[in-house]
Amino acid sequence: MSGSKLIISYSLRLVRREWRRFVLPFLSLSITAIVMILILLLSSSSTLFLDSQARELLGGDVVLESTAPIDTDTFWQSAGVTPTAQSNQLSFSATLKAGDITAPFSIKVVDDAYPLYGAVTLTEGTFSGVGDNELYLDEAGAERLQVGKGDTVSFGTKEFVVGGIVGAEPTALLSGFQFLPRVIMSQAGFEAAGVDPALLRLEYQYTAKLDGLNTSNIEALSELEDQSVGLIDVDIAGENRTGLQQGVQIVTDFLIVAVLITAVLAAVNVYASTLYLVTVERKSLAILLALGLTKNRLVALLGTAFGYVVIGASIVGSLLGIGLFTFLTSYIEATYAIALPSPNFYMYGLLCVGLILTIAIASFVPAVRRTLSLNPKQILIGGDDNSKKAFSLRSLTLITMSTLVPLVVLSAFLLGDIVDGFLIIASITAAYVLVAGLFSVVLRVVYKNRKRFPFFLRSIVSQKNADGLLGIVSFASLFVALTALSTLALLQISLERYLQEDLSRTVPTTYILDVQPSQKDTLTQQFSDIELFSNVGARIVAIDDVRIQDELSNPDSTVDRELGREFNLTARDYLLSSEQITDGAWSSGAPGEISVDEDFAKRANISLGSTLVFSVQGFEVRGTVTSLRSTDSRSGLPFFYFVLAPSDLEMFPAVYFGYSYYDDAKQGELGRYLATNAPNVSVLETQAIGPLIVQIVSTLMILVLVVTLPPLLIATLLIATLVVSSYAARRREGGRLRAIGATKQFVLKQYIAETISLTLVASVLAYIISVLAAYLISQYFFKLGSVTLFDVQLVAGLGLIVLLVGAIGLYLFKSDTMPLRELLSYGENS
Amino acid sequence: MENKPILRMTDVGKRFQTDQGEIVILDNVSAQIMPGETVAIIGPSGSGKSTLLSLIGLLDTPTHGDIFIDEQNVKSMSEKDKAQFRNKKIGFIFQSFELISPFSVAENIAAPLEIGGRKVEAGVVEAMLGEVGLSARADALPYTLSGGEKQRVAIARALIHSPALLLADEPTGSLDRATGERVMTLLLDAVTKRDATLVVITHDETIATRMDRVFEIKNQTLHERK
Repeated sequence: MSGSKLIISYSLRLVRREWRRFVLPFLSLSITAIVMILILLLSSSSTLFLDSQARELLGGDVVLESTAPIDTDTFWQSAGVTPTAQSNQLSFSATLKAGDITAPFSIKVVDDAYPLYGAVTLTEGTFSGVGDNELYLDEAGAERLQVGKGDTVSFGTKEFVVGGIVGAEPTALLSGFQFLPRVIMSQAGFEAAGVDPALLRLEYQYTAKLDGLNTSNIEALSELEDQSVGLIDVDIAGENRTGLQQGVQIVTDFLIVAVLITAVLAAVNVYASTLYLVTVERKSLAILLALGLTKNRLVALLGTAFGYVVIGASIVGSLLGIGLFTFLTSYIEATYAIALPSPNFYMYGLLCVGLILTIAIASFVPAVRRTLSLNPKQILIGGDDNSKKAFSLRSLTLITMSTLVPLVVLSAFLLGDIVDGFLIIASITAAYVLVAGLFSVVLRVVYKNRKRFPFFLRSIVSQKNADGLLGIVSFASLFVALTALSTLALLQISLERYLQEDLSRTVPTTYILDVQPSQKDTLTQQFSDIELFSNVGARIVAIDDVRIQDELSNPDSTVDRELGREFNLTARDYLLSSEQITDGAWSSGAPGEISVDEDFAKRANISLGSTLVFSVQGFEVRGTVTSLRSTDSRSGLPFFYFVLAPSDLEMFPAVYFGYSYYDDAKQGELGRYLATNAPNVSVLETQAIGPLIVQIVSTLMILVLVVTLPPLLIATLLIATLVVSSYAARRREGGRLRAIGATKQFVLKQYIAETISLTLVASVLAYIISVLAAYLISQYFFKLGSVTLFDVQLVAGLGLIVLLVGAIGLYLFKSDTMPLRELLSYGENS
Repeated sequence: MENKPILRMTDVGKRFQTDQGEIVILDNVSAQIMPGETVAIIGPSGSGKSTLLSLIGLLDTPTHGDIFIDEQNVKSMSEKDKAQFRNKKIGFIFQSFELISPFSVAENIAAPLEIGGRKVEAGVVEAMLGEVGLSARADALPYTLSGGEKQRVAIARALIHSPALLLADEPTGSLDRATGERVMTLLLDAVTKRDATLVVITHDETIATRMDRVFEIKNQTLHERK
C-alpha cells in the first residue's frame, strides 16, 4: 500500500472505530463555526445595509442640526459645496389633544421637499406631502389618542385632520430610541396653530442632497462643525454613528469579543483533545511505530484523522450558521420591515472553513509533538511513558504562541486593527503563560516538600508532577475556559445593568419639560406638588485664569472641547435625595457659591476654590466652587453639572423642568390642562416609557445571551474534555494502587480531591483575572461607565462548575473503572 | 512449617460470557499450597494461567468454588475487604512491572505500607533497596529505570509488607534471559529468606524447575506434576 493510501485508510479506520474520542472536538469546532460565520455574515450584512441605506437613514447626504436657525447658504458656501436639493425641518415635543385624551408627541414640522431620500410609508394609501390642515401620526400616537385617518386632533388653537397613519419613516431607525409617539405636520399648519416658537425647545434640521461629496468636502464640513463649538452638529451619510447605531456598535463589539473567546476556547479544545487522543491511544500508536511507521507518517495519520473531523465540523457549522442567518434575516424582514442584504455566502463560508482549519492545525501541531516523543520500546515493554520529562516553560510558551498565531489574525480581522488584535490575544496568552508558569513553580515547590504531607496528599502531588506538560496545559486551559466564562458573565451583567439603568424605582411617574416663566406660577398653583427647577442656558467663559473660548479657538489647546458647549445652570438652596456632597460644604444658597458635579469637575480640572465665570444671555456671572457633588443617575431625578444660588440667577429668564409622582387620573388632568393652556409644555409619562425600555432591553439581552451561550457551551465541553483526558491518564495508576491494596474509594477520593481542588484554584484565579478583564473591556472597549465586579450568581455558577467537574469525574470512575485483571499478562485482551 | 495450607482452592471455576456464548476458562480447580512453598503454574498461552492468578490474587471473582487464603474464604468478601486483604496478605509482581509512574523508587516500595495505614519505620525502605541492589536509585522515577531495575523495584514493593502469599505473573516475561535469571534468583532468595510462599505463573520450564512444586493447566483444570 502506498504511503498516502495507507495514511488515508488508517486514519479513516481510526475515526470510524474511535469516533467517540472525536465527538467533543467536533462539537466544539462546529459551534465555533456557527458563531463565526453567523457573526461574519451579520456584521457584513449590516455594514452593507448601513452603507447602501445611509442617505435614507440619515435623511440626506449631509444633515445640519442646531438649536438655533442656521444660515445654510453661508454654511454650504464656506464648506465649498452646493446642494442640489434641500429640506428643512423643525423638531420639538409638545402635547396634542383629541377629545378628552391628551398625549405628548415628538413633532416634526416638514416642508414640501421632505423626505429628500426614501419614502414615508402609510398603513393605508400613499404619502404625497402634508397638507396645511392635516397631520400624520405614527401608530403608537394614533393608539394613544384613539384616533384614525380622518379624525380630528388639536394642537394649540388649531384643529387638524389626521391625513394618515405612518407605518415607517426612512429616518426612524437611526434617530435613536424614540420614547414619544411621532407626528408630522406642515410649516403652514404649525404657524396656524398659534404656538409661540420662543416657548418651544426647537431643533432645526437642514437636510441636503450633495452630488460628488469628496474627502476635502467632508474635512471642510467637519472643520466648520468644530468651529461652531457645539452649536452645529454635522452628520454625513455613512460617516457618523449615532443613536441606535451607537447601541448596535456596542452589541457588535460584544459579538466580536464573544467570537474571539469562542475561537480561543475551540483552539484549546482541539489542543486538549489531541493530547487526550495521543494519551489514550499511546500504546496503539507505539505499535505502529514499532511496525515501522515513521514518526512523520504517524503525525500525518493523526492529522488526517483530525482533518476529517475539522473539515466536517467547519462545513456542518458553516451550513448551520448560514441557515440561522437566513432565518434571522427573514425574521427581521417580517418583524421590522428591514431587508438586510445577503453577503457572499461562498466567500464567507470558505473564510470560515479556512479560519477553523488554521486554528485547528495550529492547535494540533504542538499537541502532536507529544506523539513525536513516543518511544515504542519504553511504552510496549516498560508500560511507562517517557515523554513526561521535566516541564520547560520555554516550550510551553512556544507551543502556546504558535497555537495563538491564527487567533491574532482572526482578532485583527474582526477588530479591523492588527495592533488591537495582537494586544487582545497577547493579553490572553500572557495570562495563560503566567498561570501555567505559576502553577508549575508552585507544583515544583510542593513536590520537593512532598515528604511532609500524608500519603493521600503526597500521591496527588506526585501524580500532578508526573502529568508534566499535560497537567500544566490542562490547568491553564481550565483557567482560560473559566476566565472566559466569568468575563462574559460579568460583561453581560454590566451590560444588562447599563441598559436597565433608567428603570430605577425612584424614577418619577411624570416629567414636565419646557415650562416658561409666564406659565410657572399658574401651573404650580393648579398642581402644587410638581417640583420645578429653573434652567438657564450659559457658556463657560473662564475657569480660574483659563479663558475657555480663547483656548478652544487655539488648535493646540488641550482643553476639553465639551467645555465650549452650552450648559444648563440651575439655582436652588437645597440638595435632592439623589445628590450627595463629596467634598467641601453645601452652600445652602449663599450668593456667589457654586456646587459642581464631581465627575465633570475632574474632566474640566475644576477643584474646590476654583473661580468660574459664565456668560448668561450676554452678562457675566461669577462664583466660587464651594462643594463637589455626586448624583445617583439611576434615581431619575434631575441632574445638573452646576447649581448656583437663587439670587445669582433670578434676574435671568429661565425655562423650567419638573417632575411629579402622579396616578393615571391626575396625569390625565395635567395633560388636559397643558393641552389647553400650555401646549408647548411636554409631559413624559414614565409608565409608557418603562415597557418600551424593558422591551428594548430584553431584546438586546436575548441577543447578548444567544451570543454568550456558544462560548459557555464550548467552555463546558472543554472542561469535560479535560476531565476525561485527566481520567484517561489516571485509569491505570488507579488500577496499580488497587492491586497493592488501595480501596476503590481511596482511589476515587484521591481523584475527586485532585480534580475539585484544581478546579477550585482555577476558578478563584479565573475570577480574579476576569474581574480585571471585565473592568478593562467595559471601560475602554464598551465605555459603559459602571462595571459589575461581583455577582453572587456568577460565584454560585463557578461553584456549580466545580461540582460538575466532580460529578463528571465520579461518573467516569463509576462507569469506567479498570478491571484489575488487565494488569496481568493477558492484560487488555481479556 | 505449619500444617495449615496458606492457599486452598476447592472446585474453583471461571467462565466468561461472550457474543458467541459461554467460554469455560477454568473448571473444577482444586489444590492446596503450604506456607513457605514455591510453586509454578505452567501451561500454554490461553490455558487460563493468568486467570487463575487473578482469582488467587483477588483481582477477579470465581464463577464457582471457594478459595481460602490463610484459612479465610475470600469468595464472600466485599471489594473493600478484598483490597485490605490484598494489602495485608498478598504481594504482586507483574510482567509489565506496573510501577506507579508518578512515585519514585522509594515511594513505590513504601506504598503498600502507607496505603495500609502502617508506619514506615526508619530504614525499612532503605534496607529493602539495599537487598534488591537499588540503593543509589531511591529517588529515581520509574521511566528512568531499565526493565531489570523495574522488576527489582516490583519485587521490593511486593515484599515490603511481609505478605503471606507472593504472586508473580510471568515475572521475567519482559526481560532478556540473563536479566530474567538474575531477577528470578533475587526473588527466590528473598522469598526463602522470609519463608514466604511464592506462586509463579510462567511458561518457562527453567523457572518451573527451580520451584518446589509445579502445576500444569490442562483441559481447564489444574494438575500437579509429580
